Amino acid sequence: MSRVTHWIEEAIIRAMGDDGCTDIAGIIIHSRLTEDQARRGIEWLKDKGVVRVAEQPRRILRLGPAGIRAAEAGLPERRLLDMLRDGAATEVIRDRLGEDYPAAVGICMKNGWIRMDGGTPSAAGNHPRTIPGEDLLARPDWDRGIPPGEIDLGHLARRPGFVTVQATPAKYELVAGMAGGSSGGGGAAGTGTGGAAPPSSTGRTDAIDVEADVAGLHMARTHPLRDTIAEIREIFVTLGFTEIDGGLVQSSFWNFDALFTPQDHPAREMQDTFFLENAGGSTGATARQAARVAETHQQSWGYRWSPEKAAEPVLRTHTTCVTIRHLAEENPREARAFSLGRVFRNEKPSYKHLVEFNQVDGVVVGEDVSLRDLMGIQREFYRRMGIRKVKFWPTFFPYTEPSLQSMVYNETLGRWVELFGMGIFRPEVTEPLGITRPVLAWGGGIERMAMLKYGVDDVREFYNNSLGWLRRAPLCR
Amino acid sequence: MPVVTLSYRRLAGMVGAPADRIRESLPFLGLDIEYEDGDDMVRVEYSPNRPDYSTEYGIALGLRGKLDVETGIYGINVAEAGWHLEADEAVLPVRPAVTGMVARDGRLDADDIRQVIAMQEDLHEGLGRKRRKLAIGLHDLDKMAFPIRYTTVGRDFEFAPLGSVEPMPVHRILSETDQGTRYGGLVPGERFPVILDSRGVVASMPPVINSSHTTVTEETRSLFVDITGMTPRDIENALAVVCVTLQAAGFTLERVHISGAGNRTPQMPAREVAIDPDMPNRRIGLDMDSDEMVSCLRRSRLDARMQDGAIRCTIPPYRFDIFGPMDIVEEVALGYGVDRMEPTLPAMRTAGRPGGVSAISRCMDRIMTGLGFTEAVNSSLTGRDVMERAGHGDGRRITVANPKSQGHTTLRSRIVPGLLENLSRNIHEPYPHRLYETGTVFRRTAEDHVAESMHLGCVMAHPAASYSEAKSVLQSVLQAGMTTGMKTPPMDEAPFQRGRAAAVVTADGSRIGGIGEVSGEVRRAFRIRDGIRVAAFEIDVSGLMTRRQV
Repeated sequence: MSRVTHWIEEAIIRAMGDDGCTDIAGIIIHSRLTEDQARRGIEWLKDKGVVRVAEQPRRILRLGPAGIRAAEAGLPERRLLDMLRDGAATEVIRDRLGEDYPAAVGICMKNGWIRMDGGTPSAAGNHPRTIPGEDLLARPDWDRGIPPGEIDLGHLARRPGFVTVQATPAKYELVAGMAGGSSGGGGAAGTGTGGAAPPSSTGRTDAIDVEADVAGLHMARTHPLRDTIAEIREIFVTLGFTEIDGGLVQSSFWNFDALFTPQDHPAREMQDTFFLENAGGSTGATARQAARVAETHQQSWGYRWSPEKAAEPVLRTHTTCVTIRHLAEENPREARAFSLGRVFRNEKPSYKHLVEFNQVDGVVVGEDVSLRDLMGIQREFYRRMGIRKVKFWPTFFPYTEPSLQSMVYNETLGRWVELFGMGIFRPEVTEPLGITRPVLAWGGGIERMAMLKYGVDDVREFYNNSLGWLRRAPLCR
Repeated sequence: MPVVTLSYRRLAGMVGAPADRIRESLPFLGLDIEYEDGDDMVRVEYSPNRPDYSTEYGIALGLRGKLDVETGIYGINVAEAGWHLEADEAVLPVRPAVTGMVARDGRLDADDIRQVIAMQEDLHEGLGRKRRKLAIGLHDLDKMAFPIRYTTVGRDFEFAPLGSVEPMPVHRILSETDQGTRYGGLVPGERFPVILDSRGVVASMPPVINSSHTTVTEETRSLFVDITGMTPRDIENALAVVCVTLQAAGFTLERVHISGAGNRTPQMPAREVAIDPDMPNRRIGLDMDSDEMVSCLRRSRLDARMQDGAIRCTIPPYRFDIFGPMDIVEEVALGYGVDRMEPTLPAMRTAGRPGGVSAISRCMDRIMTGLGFTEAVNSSLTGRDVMERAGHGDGRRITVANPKSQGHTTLRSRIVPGLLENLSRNIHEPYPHRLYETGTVFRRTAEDHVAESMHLGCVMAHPAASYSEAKSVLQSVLQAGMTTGMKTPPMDEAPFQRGRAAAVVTADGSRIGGIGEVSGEVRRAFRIRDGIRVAAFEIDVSGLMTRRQV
């Protein structure tokens, strides 16, 4: 519901809603409007149906000053008669009754209760028990005011200052659900659309239109892609894996040679891999590691291995270079490790390919680890990501044997989607690096999983940083 | 991954099994179904280490094994027929290795020719490394007179190349034909290798182009195949794939005797790999007896037998992807069937923990979102213009060779330029904009190596954004994240406005970044509206990585 309200109207609504005012005087006091503004605003709000009249103004009778005196001390004629009975001197009586003396004498004369003797009153001997008007003055409801039709004032009506006629002000109330703009909340813009209901027992109007629309807020948040990464990291950690950090720039040795990728392999061409134009580096391998890798390549692929090529720095094409280096340094008896972060491919970006994206890869080292264990860890990982249907197909990777790929069923797309690749590191990988126990390894892109999670069909969306999208994308998935 | 197009109908005929069984078996041979036309056609991806799967014939052999129609080695039979090829010493410096085979009495329809050419191209690309290591020529045998010579010719030697009727000199073939310009670089000298028949007719000029004279057509019944390259090993591997494919396609193979320039007649022997029968069980996680293992291997089209406590496995010559025992383990797994393997979850005997870098970014996330900033994610390989628009000149920029996209050429040295780019793409969104990013930045060291560090960048954009606001935010970051105070001595540096920028120096005196109001010039360069002011800071947070001792 939306409604345009003038500031005067808002001030009136606040005074009525928050401060419980019901009449013009209260509104003027609480809103600090002038009487004229308040009256005008009330008329506008009545026209809009926001305010209605709860009680019309009306006339009532109240005691005037003389009436109040008479109600407290008795009618002047009664006081005159009482003083005469008690034998008071004329001067004293005159003095006590003051300006009421002539009227008191006149009424008593007329009713034959006194006689006048040369200006000196004396009791006529028929002291009255009641005097007309005394019963009226004794009514208890003068404070609230008495409607004119309810009583016959008799002679009191003609006596000045005994009874006055007053008008009550109109009483107003807010119409439930109609007051837009303000209610509680200290007046911050757009904090609520409160309509006020009739005054509650406390006199405050605090019920609001709980069904009305409200203004949107933009929360500060982490990026959905980074949320997915954090979720994956947490799953790995809770599965007993330790995260290994590594640089984005790696030597060709660790990115390729250590993983049994021959130096003339197509993946190592500039078409696929980013080589740095103006930076050098070293293999980052020990002399022994380099010599044994060289020997393995020469034997298996039949070519002369070049240490210079192995030293060329590249933007890593996978994170496996980080985990393999860690294993080469530690040669653990038993380990679970993973690495996660940016990797690079020299491609033209499209809706399904990025130049730079995130990957995770994990390894399990142990004397007894098996391919079925590897499948089981995958299945558990996917289960924790909320993916239930998983199947495995054989495939090929240069550095694992056997090699499998996992396919997961996406309900939204209604088809199987290829996710992580996996396998057991080839002996040609592990042996030259001094890794003496079998290593289960797997890895894959994270964006694809995030796409499924957030229903994104263009992977570039994650890197557009469109505030419209960031502000809308669900946080907890 | 290379791709091959197949027909279910033809495969069903070759395999002797219904099409739906073939369809469900393909993935378990490692063939990934990429596309189906809904009728008969299917396109699959195959592994680059299995060039024998580049045709229907090779795939049919695999399927026959997988479906138990025919198991064990598919033997290659080569008959003697007295064909000879002689290599000249002249080829030694250019392209020394040559081999060949004759395949007779086959029948190739248009589809067969397409498949055989696809196999040839696959071998060229993969094993041949774009023809550098090997090139294959397929010729109509009936157009050739034996014995064949492999020799070299000069630039002015003439023959009619494929696709041309008229003879052309070699130098024109190299400069004018498509194949010549593409592969001429592989024979850079003044002498060019050629395959000549006994009459001096050119069959091919490897690795560039065949002659038009010996072109294979649907009328061709018998083939001569030449393979040239740099080492005997590569060309004989390729020859083995060609032989198994052509024999499976219905040809009879006949040996070509090779001599000269260190070349030899190909023997293509089978190899033997022995393996402890315990190994497949342990590595796969199964409990098979040796008989079952042998039948798994036979389903993978290998031969195997138990002898002296070991499984002795015979490998056909076209399976040069098999190096050692672990490859045999895989063959057992494939023969057993990955679809039959139930995953097992191994017991966990390690305690996991996240890495140090993630701990920093998590800390920054908590601080920055708490301060009302939203996280942005930008590439660390960025465009040159983004850095330049932010006023970060040439400096010691690190660039990549041959980038395919102009948006990804330069390793970022700062985070803030990417964030300014984000602001420029969001000018239609309601302000204020408050963004941050933690990420890797790169620097070239004095030795021209690359040093990486972790930065936090932060921008705020709205009509009243100011240096003071940025400094308030930064102060909170430093107090909460690094428990240090800071000094902000004046600095004049892009992208900030002179007089409203400062260096960020920690209490211990190390300079970790900069802060300021972004200059009007830079704001305009990022198309940020007049009236919107931008303040920013960027600091190195790598220092957080040093764990405090407790």
